[in-house]
Amino acid sequence: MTDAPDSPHWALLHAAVKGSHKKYSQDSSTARLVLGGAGALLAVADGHGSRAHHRSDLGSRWAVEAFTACALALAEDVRRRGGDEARWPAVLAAARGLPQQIVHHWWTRMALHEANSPAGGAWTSGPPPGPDPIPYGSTLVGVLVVGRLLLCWQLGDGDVVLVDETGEPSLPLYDGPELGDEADSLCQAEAWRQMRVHWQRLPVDRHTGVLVSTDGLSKSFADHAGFVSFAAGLRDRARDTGLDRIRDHLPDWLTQAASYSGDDSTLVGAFPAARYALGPQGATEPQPAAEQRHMAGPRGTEGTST
Amino acid sequence: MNGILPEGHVLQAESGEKITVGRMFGAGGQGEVYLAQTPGGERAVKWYYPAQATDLQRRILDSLIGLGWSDDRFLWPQSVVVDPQRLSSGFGYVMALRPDRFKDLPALFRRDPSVSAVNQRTLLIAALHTVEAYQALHARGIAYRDINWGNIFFDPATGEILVCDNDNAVFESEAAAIAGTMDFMAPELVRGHPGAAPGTQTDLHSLAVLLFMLFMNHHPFQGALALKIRCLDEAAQRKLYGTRPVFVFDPDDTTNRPVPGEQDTVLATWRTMPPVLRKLFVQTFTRGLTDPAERVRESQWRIALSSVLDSVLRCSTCDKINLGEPGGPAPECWKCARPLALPQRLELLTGVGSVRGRREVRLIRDGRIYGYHLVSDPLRHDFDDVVGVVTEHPNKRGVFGLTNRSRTAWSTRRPDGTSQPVPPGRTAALRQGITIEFGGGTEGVVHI
Ligand SMILES: Nc1ncnc2c1ncn2[C@@H]1O[C@H](COP(=O)(O)OP(=O)(O)O)[C@@H](O)[C@H]1O
Ligand SMILES: [Zn+2]
Repeated sequence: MTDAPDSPHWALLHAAVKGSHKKYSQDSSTARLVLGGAGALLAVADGHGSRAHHRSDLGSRWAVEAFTACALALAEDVRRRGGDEARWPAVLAAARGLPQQIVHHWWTRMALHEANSPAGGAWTSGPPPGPDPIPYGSTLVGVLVVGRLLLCWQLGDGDVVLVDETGEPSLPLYDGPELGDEADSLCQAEAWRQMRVHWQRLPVDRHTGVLVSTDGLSKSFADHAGFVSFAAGLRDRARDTGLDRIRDHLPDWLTQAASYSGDDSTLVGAFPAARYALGPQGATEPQPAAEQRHMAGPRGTEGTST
Repeated sequence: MNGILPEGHVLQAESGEKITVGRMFGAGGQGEVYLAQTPGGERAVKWYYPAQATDLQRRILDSLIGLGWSDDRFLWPQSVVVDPQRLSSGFGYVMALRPDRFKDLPALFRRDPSVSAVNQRTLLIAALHTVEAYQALHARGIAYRDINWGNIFFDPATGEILVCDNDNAVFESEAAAIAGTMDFMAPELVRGHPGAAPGTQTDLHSLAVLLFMLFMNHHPFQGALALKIRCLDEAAQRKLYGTRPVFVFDPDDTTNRPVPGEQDTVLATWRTMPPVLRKLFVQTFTRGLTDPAERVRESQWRIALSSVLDSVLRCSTCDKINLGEPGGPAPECWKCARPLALPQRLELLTGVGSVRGRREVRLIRDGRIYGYHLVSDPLRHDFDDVVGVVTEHPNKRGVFGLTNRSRTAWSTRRPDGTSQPVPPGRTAALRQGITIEFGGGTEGVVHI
């Protein structure tokens, strides 16, 4: 985490667990404060993990690094512009251009690595082929919040959930269950074209929190609604008991999720610190096991019976 | 998604009409757009962010609305709305809803299934409509100031377009702040050159960027130099688009060429461009960068696009539409790389006396002759006004004719002088040397 400011506007969540039957995780993630706590940067990347993508742990790590580097530069740019809403059109133009920079950053890392140790072994004859990105395939979901400006980028599976203090969470980049299983990836040609960008102005009075997760988490629920109510439940808990409590329990919830989906599960989040960081005095201790079921409602509890 | 205005909130138009806010469509750089119920039916409302709800913006809106313009290519501001309950200070405006068949350019750039109907021909038509739409504005002395990929929508099946976000347009003489984003802005505006003001001249640069993106699906300055930048922050944008813009296909400066492996689409799409269009892009993005008078004007784009549209070819192997060079040799198919065959052409002579117009149309299967082909100086390209269709003979394969889809009779004249009427619904055989008289002094000669 970067510089710890005196009183950051954002409080962070960060937890990751390895899939239940995996040797090592292909997820990568980061949650950090930016601009001295005035903003937050969240990112998760999910390496594809199958044999064809046997270096995707590297791919996902570079994805998060590439995003972090580019988004930090953008955050600086926003700060230099004084966070003035009248300058937003220019910021949004930079945000729309970011996918190309991120993918280029990732591609350069990948190409360098491939040049030094090609995944397909050394070539023996003929002109050297271009770098093969397939072994490094990964998704990327990233969020940058600066002041009232929320920016999201998404390539491939994963979820961004916005939670206001009350009410239904919203998923600005969600457009229904994936039809085929040909999800977008950093290893495809001109991947930046497929990266979606979303922005919105956060209402000041609603204390919006942001959750970003790999699909290992959402897939552990019987359906999409289950995942959405998990997010709402997490928000309720954060609001009523404070984020510290959530931090204590999060690894358990994710472990349980990972046991249902079998996949790595990663969740990062940022919440307005003034509203969520500390729980009310004398909050009652929740009962972890029961709570966990109730909150997560993952496959295998309520899920399998339907 | 939550915005400034809650669903169900009631706004008031200047006329006093009540406008009920529905769900939010999305957020832009200047404000948020909502579905709205009005006494006249469903509309869209754009509500400005507080920082953008300025007196100047209000004055601009008032004068645009005062123009009372209605043109189906524009979602023109219809009336200003305010919030009588003062939940939010500021204002917004009402416009028509964008029909679903219109898609945005990012969908084209990412090859979204919703735009799969698009082909080189519909893109040409979209380009032509775009040029004519901005030409119509400029002819009224209005500068758009904010031409960019976010305010053009197109119908992938027909190439029709819709121009949104018209709230930055101003009358040419009006003092106005610089609007728009740097990636579409004329370099002299990006540099903040004293004396440079947004107007028709600077719109011409933005228009060329937009056309390039429509055809090439890539920004004309985002080559190798852009990839070296980590984030296109203000300083980087200023350099890339203002102080040192280099066209990715500048014939004399190769420093910003697209990078193979990372920017392959633009390399491929550029290859499909006929020389006549390439030349215009090169002109605008090299000499036109420093000399605004060198920028390609709408009338030039229009002539070039229209003539390329007349030279569209269809591959006999893979059936893909290709763009041919007017009067030029046949290119290779962009899809299957086979050499294309040149079909018959119709040489059209329009008008009377000494002011005859001349153009040539390649007669591909299913090709069309439109009303605008038959007049010397058409006001606008109307693709609903079909007057003839190239059809294959029902019994003789490979024999083509031009079916009269107009409401007036044509006649054909053979080289030997004999003539024959072609009433509506009938077909004129397309043989070497035959002349088709369309009426009004317009005739077409068939060349093999
Ligand atoms: N007249 C309209 N009908 C339907 N949707 C609209 C209309 N105008 C704008 N929108 C949608 O509202 C959102 C915000 O629009 P806008 O402020 O123009 O944003 P942008 O800066 O992205 O162009 C976009 O998703 C846009 O497609
Ligand atoms: Zn072909």
